[in-house]
Amino acid sequence: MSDDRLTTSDEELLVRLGSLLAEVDSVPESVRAAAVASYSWRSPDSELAKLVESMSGAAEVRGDEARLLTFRADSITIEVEVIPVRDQLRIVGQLVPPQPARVQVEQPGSESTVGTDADGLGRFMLDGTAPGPARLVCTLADSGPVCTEWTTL
Amino acid sequence: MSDDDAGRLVRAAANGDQAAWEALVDRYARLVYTVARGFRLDDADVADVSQATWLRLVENLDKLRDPGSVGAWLATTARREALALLRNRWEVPLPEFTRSEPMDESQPEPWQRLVAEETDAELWRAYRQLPIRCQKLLRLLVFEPVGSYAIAAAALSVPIGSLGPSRARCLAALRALLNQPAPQRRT
Repeated sequence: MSDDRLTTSDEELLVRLGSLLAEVDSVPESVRAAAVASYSWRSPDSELAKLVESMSGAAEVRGDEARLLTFRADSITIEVEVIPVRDQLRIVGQLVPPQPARVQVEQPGSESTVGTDADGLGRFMLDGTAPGPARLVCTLADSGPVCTEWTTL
Repeated sequence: MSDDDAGRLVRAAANGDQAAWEALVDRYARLVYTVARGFRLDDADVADVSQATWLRLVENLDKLRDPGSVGAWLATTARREALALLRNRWEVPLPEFTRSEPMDESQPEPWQRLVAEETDAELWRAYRQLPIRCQKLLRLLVFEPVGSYAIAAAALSVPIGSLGPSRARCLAALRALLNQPAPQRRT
């Protein structure tokens, strides 16, 4: 298709536009630094729990909007409800099958990690998560850590 | 950067090479940022979309089916992250691409910094008069390799086959605007 070839003058125009837009669309240093720092969250040894379901507006009774998220890995399913509490988030969750585990919320840019122990029925509650990208890390009694996919809460 | 180079960097980063990771960020940070800014999101949300996109790449470094196409993968992922964020904010499905709001009215006019470059000011003036659809499309076609459809199609979620005619129309419109005398500048 002749359409698919750029003429020299089209290419020149795009290159000129490219250097102009490079100026306009320059990436803020904080955004670039966050992208570089993402690499420190590499965890090749943990199992990944994929987000398989996301529903909003599940808690009208609270007068605020909650989200229900379901993450699934081979060994475990993690169901959580994310509830806005003032300017932070409360995470109420359940591990299926039920089992005790250490559950932590990891967030880039936050110095401290919020964590708790799920009870014998696999239930847990975590306060103090900030809106933004986050993941849960579950350390199970009899296997390696399971990380949820990064999800913007 | 060729697909081979991109694929090599992805594989090196998957094996723990921090420098390869930084090279990927240098190459694609602006693409991810530009895609995120194409939606009606504030600065904090744009930063979150960018961050989430890069975190997802970290998560998927060793899982990409075609590491050489990491640019298109990042564009798709950034678009999905932006849409997911919008859905959570508003809980309504949003038509994309055909929406006609400006990408970002608050950005500084570059001629303020480029006063010496009169031709750039002319080009910018013409570009800003294009339909929003054209502005978005051309914005995505300037990433290396210039004029490549793969990344633009991924970012806009349109069939690759539609881009040739769209690009031809948009470039023709841009040329027509460039050939017009400059209108009086509004202040």
